[in-house]
Amino acid sequence: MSEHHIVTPKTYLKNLAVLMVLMALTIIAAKWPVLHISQTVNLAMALTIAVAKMMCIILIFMHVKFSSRLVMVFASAGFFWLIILLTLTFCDYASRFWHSPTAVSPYLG
Amino acid sequence: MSTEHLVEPSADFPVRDYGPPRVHYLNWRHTIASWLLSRDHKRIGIMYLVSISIFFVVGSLFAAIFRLELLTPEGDFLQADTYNKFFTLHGVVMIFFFLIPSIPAVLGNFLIPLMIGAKDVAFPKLNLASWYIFMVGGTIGVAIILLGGLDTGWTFYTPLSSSYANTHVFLAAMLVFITGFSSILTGLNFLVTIHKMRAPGLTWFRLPLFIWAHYATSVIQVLGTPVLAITVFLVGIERIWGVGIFDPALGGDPILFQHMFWFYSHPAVYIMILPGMGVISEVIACFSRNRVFGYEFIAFSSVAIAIIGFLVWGHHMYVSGQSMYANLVFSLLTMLVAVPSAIKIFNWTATLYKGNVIWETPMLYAVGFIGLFGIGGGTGLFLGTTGLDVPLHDTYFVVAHFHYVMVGGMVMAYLAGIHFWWPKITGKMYAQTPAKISAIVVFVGFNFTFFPQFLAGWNGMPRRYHSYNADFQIWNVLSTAGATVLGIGFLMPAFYLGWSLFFGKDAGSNPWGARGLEWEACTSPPIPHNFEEIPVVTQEAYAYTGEETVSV
Ligand code: HEM
Ligand SMILES: [Cu+2]
Repeated sequence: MSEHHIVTPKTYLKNLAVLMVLMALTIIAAKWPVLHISQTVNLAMALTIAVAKMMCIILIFMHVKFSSRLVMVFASAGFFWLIILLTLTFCDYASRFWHSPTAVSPYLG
Repeated sequence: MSTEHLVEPSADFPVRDYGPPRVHYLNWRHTIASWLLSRDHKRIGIMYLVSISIFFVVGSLFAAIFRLELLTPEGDFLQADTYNKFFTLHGVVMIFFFLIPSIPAVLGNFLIPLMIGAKDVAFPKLNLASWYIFMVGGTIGVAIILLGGLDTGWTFYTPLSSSYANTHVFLAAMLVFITGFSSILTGLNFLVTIHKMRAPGLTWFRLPLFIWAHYATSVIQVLGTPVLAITVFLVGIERIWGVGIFDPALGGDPILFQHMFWFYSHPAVYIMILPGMGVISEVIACFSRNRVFGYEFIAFSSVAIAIIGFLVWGHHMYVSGQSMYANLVFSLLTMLVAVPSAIKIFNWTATLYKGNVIWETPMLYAVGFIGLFGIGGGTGLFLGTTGLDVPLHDTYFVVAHFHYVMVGGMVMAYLAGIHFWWPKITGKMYAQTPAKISAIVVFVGFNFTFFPQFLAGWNGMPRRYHSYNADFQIWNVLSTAGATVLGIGFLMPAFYLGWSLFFGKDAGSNPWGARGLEWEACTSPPIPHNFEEIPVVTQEAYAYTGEETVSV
C-alpha cells in the first residue's frame, strides 16, 4: 500500500450529506402519492436510488475509488458473481410455467 | 507469456543440502502460548492439521457406525431418526471441518509462503483468527453432537431446516455462518499473498501449479462463501421475523433455498478438489522428473473451473421443481465444467509419458487420484444429463459419485501431499515400506467400499435410509467390508508418521530431489522466517533434468 490515499473528513461529511439526501428521496418516493405511478416504475425508482447509495458507500467510504485497479477488479467481481446468481436463478422462475401455456407464473405476474 | 527469460535447467542438482537447522519453526519456542498465539503460517498450518485430523476421526466414527447398521436390510441398532442424525453429522463434519480446510488450511498455509519465497502470508493475524473462528465453529459442532444432533442432511434444505425443524438447526446455521468466515479469511489471505508477496523473478507463469490452484480456490472461497452465510441468515430471518422467503405459506419458495445453497455448494466441491489438483501437479512433476505438460493449460483450467463452477449449480435440482428449461441450461453448462478437469487429467498423463517415473509413496497416491477422480468426474457427467439423473438422483449412485471425487480425489490428494511434504514439515523421513503398503490398502479399500455403491444405486437403492430392500444386501455387505479395509489404510499413516517424528532419520532439505523454492532454498524443517535471504527466481517451475536423485 505505497500510494495510500488520505481521505479527508470533509470528503466523508460530503458523502454523508449525499447519503442523507438519497435517504430523503427514498422516503419521498415511497410515501408521496403523486409519485405512485405503477409498481414497476416505483420499483425502478427505489432500486435506482439504492444503487446510488451503494456506490457512495463502496467508492468513498470503502475507498475503492482511491484504490489500485486490482482492488477495483475484485470489487467488480463481486457484482459479476451476483449477476450470475440472479440471472440463472431468474431463468428458473421465469420459465417454470412455460410448459403449461395457460398457466401464468405466480412469481413474475 | 514470454519465453525470453527461460533459463535452461541446470545439471548441478540438487543445489545443496542445508542439513537440519539448529533453530527451526518447531523448536524455536516451546510454550503453549507460543503455539496458540503464533502468527507463523507454518505453526498455524500445524494447528489446522491437528484439528482437522481430530474431526476426520469423529466423522469417520459416524460413518463406521452407520456402515455397520447397513450390513443387514433391517434396522438393527439405529432407527430412522438416529440414522438421519448419523449421516447428517458425518456429512457436516467431513465437509465443513475436514474437506474444505484440508489442503488449503494445512498444506496451503504451510507451503504458499515457502513456494513463493515470502516470509509469511500477507495477514498473519487474520490467519490466526481464521483458526480461532474455525475452532468456534468446531465447538458448536461438538455442542450439536452432545445436545442430540441434527437430522437435515448436510444440505439443510428448507422446510426440513425451517417449518419442520426438530433438531438443532439454529446451532447448525450458526456453525455454517461462523465456520464460513474462517474459510473466507484463508482465501483472502492467499489472494493478497499471491498477488503481493512473490519473490523477485517469480512471475505468474513461473509459479508452481499448486499456487495457481490455491489462487482459484481462494477466489471461490471469497466470492461463494458469503452466499451460504446469507442463505442461512435468511432462514433465521424467516423463522424469527416471519418474513416470507422460503416458506410458501408466507409467500416464499423452498426451491429458492436450493438455488442459494447450491450456488455456494457446487463451487464448494471445487474448493474441495482444486487444491488437491494442485498437489497432484507437484507430485506428478517431481516423480516423473518432467516439466508438467501444458503448464499454462493446467494453470488456466484452474481459473476456468473457479468461474464455470459457479454456473452449474442447478444440476442438483433437476427433480426438485426447477423449470425444465433451466434444467437444460444447467445441463449444458455442466458438460462444460468437465472440460477443464479433463484437460488436467490428460496433461498429467502426458507428463508421465517419457518421464522417469519413480514409485515413491506420494506418487502412488497421486496416480490413484488420477484414476479415481477420473471415475468420479465421469459419473458426474452421467448425473449431469437431465434424463439419466431422474432415476439416479438420490440413489447410491450419487453417493458413490461424490465419494469418488471427495475421498478418491481429495483425500487421496491430501495424503499424497502429506506424504510428499512430511519431510519438509517435520524434518523427518517416514519408513517407506509401510507407507507404500498403506497407499495400496487405501486404494483397494476405497474401491472395495464405493464401487459396490455405484451398482446398488444403478439398481435403484435410494440414499439416506437405514433399512432397505433385501436385494441390495450384497452391495452393502461388500461396501461395509471395504470400509473396514479403508479404515485400516487410513489408520496406518498415523502409526508410521507418528513413529517418524521420534525415530525417523533426518530428511535433509530435499529428499525427493524436487524442484521448487520450498525444497531448494529452505531447510527441513524451515527456519522461523523461512529464508535466510529472499531467493531470486530465474527459472520456470519444474525445471527437472532427470538427473535428480532420491535419497530416502
Ligand atoms: C466433472 C465434474 C462434476 C460433475 C459434472 C458433477 C455432477 C454432479 C451432479 C449432476 C450431481 C447431482 C446428482 C443428484 O443429486 O442427482 C452431483 C452431486 C454431487 N457431487 Fe458432483 N460433479 C462433478 C464433480 C464433483 C466434485 C469434484 C465433487 C467434490 C469434490 C463433487 C461432489 C458432489 C457432491 C457432494 C454431490 C452430492 C450432493 C448431495 O446431494 O448431497 N462433484 N455431481
Ligand atoms: Cu454440483
